[in-house]
Amino acid sequence: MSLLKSTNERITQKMNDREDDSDIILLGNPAPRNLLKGVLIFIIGILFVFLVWDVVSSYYNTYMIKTLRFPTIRDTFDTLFYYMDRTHKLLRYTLYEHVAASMGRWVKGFVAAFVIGMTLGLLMGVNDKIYRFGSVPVNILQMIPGLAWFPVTILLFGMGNNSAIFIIAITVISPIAFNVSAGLRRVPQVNLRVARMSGRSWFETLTEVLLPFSLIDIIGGLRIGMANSWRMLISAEMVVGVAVGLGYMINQTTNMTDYPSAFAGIIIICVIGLIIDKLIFANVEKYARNKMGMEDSP
Amino acid sequence: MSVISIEGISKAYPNKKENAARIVLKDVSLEIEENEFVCIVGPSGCGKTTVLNLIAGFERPNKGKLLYRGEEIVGTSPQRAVVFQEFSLFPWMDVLKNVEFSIDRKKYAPRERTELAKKYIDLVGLSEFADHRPNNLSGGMKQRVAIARTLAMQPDVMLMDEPFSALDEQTRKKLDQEILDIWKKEKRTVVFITHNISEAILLGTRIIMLSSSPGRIVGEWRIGSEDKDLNSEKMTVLRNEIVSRLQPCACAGDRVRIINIEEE
Ligand SMILES: Nc1ncnc2c1ncn2[C@@H]1O[C@H](COP(=O)(O)OP(=O)(O)OP(=O)(O)O)[C@@H](O)[C@H]1O
Ligand SMILES: [Mg+2]
Repeated sequence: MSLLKSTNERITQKMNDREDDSDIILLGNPAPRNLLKGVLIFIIGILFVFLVWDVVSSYYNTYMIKTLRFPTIRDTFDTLFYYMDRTHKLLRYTLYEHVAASMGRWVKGFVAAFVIGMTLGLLMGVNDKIYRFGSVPVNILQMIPGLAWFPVTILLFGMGNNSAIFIIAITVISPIAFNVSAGLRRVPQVNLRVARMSGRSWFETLTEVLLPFSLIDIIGGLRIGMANSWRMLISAEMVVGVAVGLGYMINQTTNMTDYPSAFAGIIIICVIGLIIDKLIFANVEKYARNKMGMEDSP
Repeated sequence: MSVISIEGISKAYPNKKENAARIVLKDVSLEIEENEFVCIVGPSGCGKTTVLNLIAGFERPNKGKLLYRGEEIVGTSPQRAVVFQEFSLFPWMDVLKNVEFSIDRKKYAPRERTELAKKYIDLVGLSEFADHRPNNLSGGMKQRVAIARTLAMQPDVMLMDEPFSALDEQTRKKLDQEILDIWKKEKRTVVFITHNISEAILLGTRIIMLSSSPGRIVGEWRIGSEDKDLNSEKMTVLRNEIVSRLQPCACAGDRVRIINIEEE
């Protein structure tokens, strides 16, 4: 497929095909091509997932126990579209209310983790002693899987909303703190010396040298934290006893053997996760890379 | 009073395991007077950059002390500015911003800083590239930006660590001349590290030679500041003498002096 050819392969082809003999080989504007290529690769990926799903579901429904049906792609999307109608409620709430509830918790948990993780990361990044002491508790935090916080959060916050938020926050503090501090510690010494030699204050050095240098790492940390927290949110909602939200919805419909609804919930989780990661964070990261002169800008 | 006086300093760096330290500079003393152009030569790894770091105030000696105009050097100062050996520009700033960064903000308004930066960018011949990012410049161009940045600081002492080693012969000669002109016009004190003996003879009023492992001063030539003809008999003899005194680098397997810090 010509769309998937590398730039060098295209140059080779053009060089051999062309009639003229100029030193410049026109390749055309790469933007639409690259976009098309990205979309194409994405679609192929999705089709592959659907293919596996289709094989599994038809095998199951044809050859295995018949009391329960494995939702096919068709079943799942029918259910999804059915509940996308605002008048149809699932477990006392509309689909939109479930999504809104989950997103609300996620935002709160993520913001809390962002504030704490950034502060810890900054302190650890600028001071060697703080790093050595701070990395121990942050490392311990990292070792505890999200749901293992269940007993702690039940004691602190009881069942419900706040517990879900706590579990999200506590699991993403460490990736954010570690990435921020690692980014700050990676700044070349010579650049810090330039700042010192030029008489920049400690604060100016932080804002004008350290933070721009580590911006990409910070965004990377937020991106990982984002993905972790989104996954964590769904599991947290399944155990801490909330009455609305995507995790709750999947858990309850599964208990009621309403598998198509549970699958619809999974689809929504994937779509939201993909939008946040691929559409928002990936582009922010790309923009920042370019802005920071990390990649050749035209 | 000397501009810089180095009084019997020694400096050691710990090894990776931090169970021993290697002496890099040993009992180095040096007086640098007003308006001198001191060139430091010596084999790779002998401690030339370390001397510069000590004068700049990035590092502290383990023994002895350094004075700047009679005051002990305890930290950095915009009066002692460095052109670093390695790449030291900020990748997200264009050339103009990089040069502006180091100009005193208390002394100059933003407009004046831009003017000043432009003047020195022009001096190193990069006016056309003022809006380019370092990534889009060649190695030599990057180094010229670093030189413009240090010049724009208008420091009392300029510390230059092999600033032209990445440049082609032509550009290097042009910039050598540029530095000489600036030095003559603006009355600065310069400490200049180079591996190029001809360059040292052309620029320096004095040449200091360091030996390796540990670095100590093993040779000193006072040449004066009058214009020199590198091809003259006198200069050729001088060059041959300096070259013959240069040892191979420390990496060539000389004895290495170790002091043990565990015992203390
Ligand atoms: N921060 C450091 N930690 C440990 N060892 C160091 C450090 N800085 C320098 N050294 C060692 O000190 C010695 C002198 O280094 P320095 O950079 O001063 O050499 P140099 O004379 O500038 O060499 P070159 O001509 O190659 O630039 C080297 O052996 C180097 O390995
Ligand atoms: Mg050096």
